[in-house]
Parts: sequence; C-alpha cells; structure tokens
Amino acid sequence: MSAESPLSLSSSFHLVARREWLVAMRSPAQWLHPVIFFTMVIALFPLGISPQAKALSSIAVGVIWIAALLASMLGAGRLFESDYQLGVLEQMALAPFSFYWITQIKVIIHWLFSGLSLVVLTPLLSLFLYLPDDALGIVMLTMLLGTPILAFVNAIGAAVTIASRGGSLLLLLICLPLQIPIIIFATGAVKAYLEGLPYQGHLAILAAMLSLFVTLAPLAIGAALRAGLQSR
Amino acid sequence: MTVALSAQHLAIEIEGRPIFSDVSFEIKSGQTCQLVGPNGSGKTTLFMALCGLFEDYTGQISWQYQAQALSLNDWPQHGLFMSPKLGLSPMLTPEENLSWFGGLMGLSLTVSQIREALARMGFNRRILRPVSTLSSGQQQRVKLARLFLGYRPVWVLDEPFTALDLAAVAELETILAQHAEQGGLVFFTSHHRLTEFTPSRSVTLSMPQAMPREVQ
Repeated sequence: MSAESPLSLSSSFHLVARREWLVAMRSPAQWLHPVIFFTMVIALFPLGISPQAKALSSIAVGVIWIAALLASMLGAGRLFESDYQLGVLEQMALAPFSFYWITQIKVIIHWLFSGLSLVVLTPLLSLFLYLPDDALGIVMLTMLLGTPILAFVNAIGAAVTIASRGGSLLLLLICLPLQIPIIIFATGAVKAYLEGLPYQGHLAILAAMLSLFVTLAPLAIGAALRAGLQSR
Repeated sequence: MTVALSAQHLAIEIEGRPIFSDVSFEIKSGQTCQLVGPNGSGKTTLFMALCGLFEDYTGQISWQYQAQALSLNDWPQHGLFMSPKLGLSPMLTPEENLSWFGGLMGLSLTVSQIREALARMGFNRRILRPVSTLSSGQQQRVKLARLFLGYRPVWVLDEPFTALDLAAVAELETILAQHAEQGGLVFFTSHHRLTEFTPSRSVTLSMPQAMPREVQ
C-alpha cells in the first residue's frame, strides 16, 4: 500500500464540503420542496385575500417572512436522518476531523440550497404582494441575515430529535421559540425603515444572532448527534 | 509496531436492562479475535464502546499503541470501525464515497489509490454509477474497500461478511489473516463458518439471566 500523505485541514474541509454539495445536487427534491412551498404560499395570498395593492402591500413583509420560516422548517427534520440511518453519521463522529466543522459545513451547504434560493426568489415574489419598491433591499438584507439563523435553529432541532420516533412534533416545540425573535427583529427592521426610523439596531441584533449561531450551534448539534448515536 | 486492546469487567446496561456484564479480554498485535454471541447479546454495543461511540458503560477499556496508552481522541488515527450499517452515501459513486472517507481519515488520496483499493475488493472496471444502483454485495465490497485507503493497525469490523458471495468471503478472510500477520489487530463478528483461517482467539458474550427488574 502506498505511503499515507497527511491532509491539511483546508483540504479535509474541501473534501467534506464536496460530499455535502454532491449529495444536495443529486437529491434536488430535498431542497426544491421548501422553495416550491415558499412560492406557493406567497402566490396564494393575492388569490385568498385580495388582489388590491393596498391590502397586500401592508402585509407583504410579514407574509414573506412567515412563508420563509415555514418553508425552512419543511424537511428540516430530515437534515441528518438519512446520514444517521445509513451509518454515515457514525463515521463522521469517528473521524479525526472535528465533528464541529462537519456539522457546520453541512448546515451551511443545506442553507445554500434551500435558504439562499428563497432569498433569490424574493424580488420576483415580492411583485405578487405589491411590496413597496424601496423596501425590497432591506427585506433581502434581513432574509440574508435571518434565513441562515433559521437553518441553524432547525439543525439543532433535527439533531436533538434524531433518535426519537415521531420527533417532528418535538422539533416544532424546540424550534419555534428560537425562531420567534428572528421574525420579530427581521420584520421590525423593515417596518422601522419604512417609517423612517433608525433600523440599524434590528439588523445588528440579527447579525449578532447569526454569528452566535454559526459559531455555537455546531457544538450543540454535535453533542446532540453524539447522544443520538448512543441510543439505538 | 504494537497495538493492544484490553477490557476489564466491562458491563453495559441500556435503560436498566443488562446487556452483558463482567466481560474481560486482552487482544494484541498479530491476533484475530472473533466476538461471539447470539443476536441481541450486545456485540455491536460493545464495539461502539470500544471506539468511543458509546460511553455509558462500567468497567475499563484501554488501548495501547507502542506501549503507550491511547485516549479515545487518538483512536481514529489508529483504528477503523465498521458498523453493520453501510456507511455510504447512496447518491455518490464508489470513488466519490471513498475520496470522502479519505478526507474524513485525514488522507489525501489520488484517484489511482482509490481505484487500487476498489480493485482489491474485486472492482476491475470503474463504476460511475451511484452506490444506490449497486447490488447489496457490491455495496458491501465498496464499504470494505475502506480497509485499503490508509494503514490503520486496528480493525474493528461488525459483520464484515454480510451479503458477500462465497469467493469474496474467502478473500476477505485471507485479508483479515494477512492484516494480523503484518502486526495488525482484527476484532470482528461473524455468523459465517470461517474456512480460510481460524481466529487466534474469541470473546463470548452470553445473555445474562433475566433480572428481576426486567420481569417486573
């Protein structure tokens, strides 16, 4: 057998990320589901409420954010499920490469597919809701800061409920309280901006929450997954 | 190079139900050891405890490498554990799966190293299809090709013979025996009758007597 060549952290990182990327690319149903759900919910509002600009534009921000929050929860419970059942997760837990990085990469790649696509679709879907033109920029900004937080919150829930059957109810109960502040500050920022009030504070809090979750959530996810691996 | 694994008075209970108790053994480099026990006697749980995936046990497990004690954090650099689960991503090709494993093991593998590992498990032609399209025997071979990605002295293999055809079973037995001859340590379970080699020793798990708590 040929000699081993040790790998730098960055190349290991690359190989782990590549696997997550390929898996997501080849199972598009996983991340298309939330994207289509998001589109449908927003498209139904003009039909269900009223196609008038006045009625829609006052609720546009809230509708976009509620749809994004619910869409992000779709399939969130399945984030680690197949890896857990197929035994891929225990190999990850055994690797000398830290579990922290693996879970972080996994959630970020999951967000790139299922979360970022919601942000990208927002300008188009905001036309359905007569979102005020000058609000689009700030709505996009709150989505860009907020949807990755949602992805990490859902990942914590998915990890905690990994070994429990019927975990989806538990997942809702765990995730919802953590998601409420995100929607409050995100829609608060947009409202403040439209009323000409200072809105930077709301954005700063969202950004602080994002950095907190990106750095600390992988610790919680890793610990929960390790506990899940023990109870089989 | 020497490795050794020992356990003293190992006992595991899951939710108050004793799985096994008072298991002691010592395995050294050059030995192949078969873990024997009926279904449900805790073989997989014991293996998981040995490699640090299951922490809720009583008793002592110790690993030694070059006469130095290994902590469980060093374990992945010296050992390879295969659970009965496949551990492959069904959407990826065999080569992509193995290159990912290389990354997890901290190895930088060239394409030819990966093909060589697959060739040793009987894949003479490249397979560019996802693992999910392969037969279960072929999937098992892809999983076993991990043995050849990089040298790990300790192999802990849970049911490695599952789904393999007779020729592959014989070949794998030879591979296990060779690994031990070269100073490795092999600890495995199998319900097959081994033909190519006799394990140098065995550890037996027997179901404990039903405890009053279980009867309750």
